[in-house]
Amino acid sequence: MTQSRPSTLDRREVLALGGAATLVLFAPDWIKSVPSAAPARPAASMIALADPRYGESLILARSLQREGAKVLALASDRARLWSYAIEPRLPGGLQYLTGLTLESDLFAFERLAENSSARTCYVGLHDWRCRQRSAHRLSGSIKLDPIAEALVSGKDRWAAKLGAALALAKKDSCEERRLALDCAAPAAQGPRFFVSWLMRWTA
Amino acid sequence: MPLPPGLSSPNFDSACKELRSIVGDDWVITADDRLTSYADPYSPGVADEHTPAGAILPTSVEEIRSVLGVANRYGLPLWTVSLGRNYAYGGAAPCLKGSMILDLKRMRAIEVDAELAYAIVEPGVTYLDLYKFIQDKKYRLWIDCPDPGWGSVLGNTLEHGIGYTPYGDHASHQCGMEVVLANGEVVRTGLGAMTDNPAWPLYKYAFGPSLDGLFTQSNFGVVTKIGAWLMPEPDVFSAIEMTFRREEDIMPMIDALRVLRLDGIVPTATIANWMRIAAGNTTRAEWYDGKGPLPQSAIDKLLKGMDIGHWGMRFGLYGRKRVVAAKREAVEKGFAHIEGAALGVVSYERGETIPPEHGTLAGIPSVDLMPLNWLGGAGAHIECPLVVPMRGAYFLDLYRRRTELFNAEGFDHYCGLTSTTPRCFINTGSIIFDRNDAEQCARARALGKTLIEDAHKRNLAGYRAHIAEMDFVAAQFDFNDHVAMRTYELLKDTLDPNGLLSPGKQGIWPKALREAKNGEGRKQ
Repeated sequence: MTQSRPSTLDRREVLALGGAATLVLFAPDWIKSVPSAAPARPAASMIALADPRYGESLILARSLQREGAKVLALASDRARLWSYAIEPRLPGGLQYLTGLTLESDLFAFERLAENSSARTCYVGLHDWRCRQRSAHRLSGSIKLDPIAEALVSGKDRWAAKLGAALALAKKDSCEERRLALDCAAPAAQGPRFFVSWLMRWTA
Repeated sequence: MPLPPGLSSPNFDSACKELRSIVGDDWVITADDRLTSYADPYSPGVADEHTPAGAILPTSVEEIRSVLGVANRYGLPLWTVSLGRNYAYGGAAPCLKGSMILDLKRMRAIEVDAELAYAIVEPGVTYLDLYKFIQDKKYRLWIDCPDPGWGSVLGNTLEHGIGYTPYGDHASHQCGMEVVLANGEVVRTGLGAMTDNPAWPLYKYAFGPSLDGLFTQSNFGVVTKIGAWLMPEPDVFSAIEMTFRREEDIMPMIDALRVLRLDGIVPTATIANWMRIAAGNTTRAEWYDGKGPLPQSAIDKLLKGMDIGHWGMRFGLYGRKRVVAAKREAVEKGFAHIEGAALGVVSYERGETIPPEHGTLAGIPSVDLMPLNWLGGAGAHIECPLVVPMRGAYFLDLYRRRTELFNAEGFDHYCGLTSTTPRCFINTGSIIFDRNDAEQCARARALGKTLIEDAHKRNLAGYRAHIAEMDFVAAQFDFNDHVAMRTYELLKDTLDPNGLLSPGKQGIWPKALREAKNGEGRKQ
């Protein structure tokens, strides 16, 4: 490959590398000090997707990793990630796919997974676009109270707490519940709108 | 779920029972929860007007013929989809509420001739499938794919979809088609009209009229197979990315590109304005907090922060090493007179791994929906891309007008220009909105209509449209008292007298529904 100068039109790769590197260098100590519970599920049963551009996404993935999940970094090509890293694990017992991502990633993975009888069993919308306050809207067929509690009590550690709550999420009922929260939180520096989600495969 | 128009509940149940006997119980869907995947995920608040009654998923031409037999007897309208990934234009949702979706995603046969460089594909084959098939067989062939590449090869081609390699005009590179007519007859176009003619996927024409165009963007038949030409893998591929600082640079930029396109030096090229570049990499909240469109100060901050110009352009150069080098030299000379223009080149030799940022220029399908996150919330977009002559000053005037219209509805102007043919552009103007926000949905739809109306004042038209706007766009084609539509209707009434196939697609309604819808004839 020969390159005369860095590409100018799509800077995503550069930004992504920069974001990941920054997080590694400046990650606060508490990221490493979140107490680890016993794995809620066998290690191979859950994949957590992490968007390397955003600290909150990495923190949530890391908290799930402590609970036994495998973490995969979101590459700019979601299709390749699905085809080569996620779908091949389905016969081996992969049961859950989760993450704290931009909304378009949930949309994309729901459609990439639709022929494998996946079902999204939880979606949380996390909105800081008003800066002073955050708004969270949760829906799903898992127990939502622990997730709501994690968001309310988590404050600036909300992503780690949310990850821990998601790792322990239990199937509640087949009926969907919606829960709207309005909890104060510092404005995020990134896109200020994230989605946490959990997708499940049933045999 | 709604019933098909004109069918009673017992009749619909009876039709479904017959359909189940053809395709099996699992492949006739009427339960609400299993039909959600046929709703338009990007609907600007009009999803309820486009709800299907059910879906049927055949696996073969013979099953389709039997399904059509049942549909003809019951008067059951069928809305044909290959995979239903026609997002921004309605997805799998039908124009006519209560239609039964004829979903062809289970038909997934692929055949590739590596020597003559073509594929024959059924409707359920995605670009990802075809790419993987070719890679697995180690054929030295490239496909051309749209972005994202998760849709159907056949479906995208029939909709006149586009990609980014020299084979980017998909309908031009389609050759040979198999179609099931409403009466169950199977037609093969071009040289396929002769049994086992080996040149069917090689030469587009035959003896007599060319039928293929009648079955693209239409509702005259059910297309079950197409031939698609493939590009031989080049010795060298150079990804060219250019930056132009000022808004008015678009004039000399387009005029220079036109010369290079007509000379055959530059193949398919794509131009993006600042918003398209920014939305592909960041979100709006990272640059600006206020309501309404970004003010100039925020745009300036964004341009500086991302180190981009008002415009970016990208295209590939392909071929033998010396040929690509000569083309590159011509490109550098062609744009040299534009002050501040920057050109970046990354070159790959045959067999080298091409990274995602240059994947679409090399026909590597990917899925990345980043621009939909621009506003936050549940991002969606609708489109009515215009066909615009490749003239610089003409386009700058149009661009400024469309920026005004986007801004008046509170949106930032997302603008793309793709030249798959050398004399014009497809001008995408994605209206990105939060599909969960009713007020934004209403503004998005209003802007869509305004853009279509404004284009018509300049005698320009969209080449695709969302299902909710198909009648509106079709009505703009007014030459000689809408004679083109009257001709389509004549064909529709002849080929599909019971009006079963995709009623309303591209504004073409069967006679009975034309009369029932407005009584007075033509819809305006």
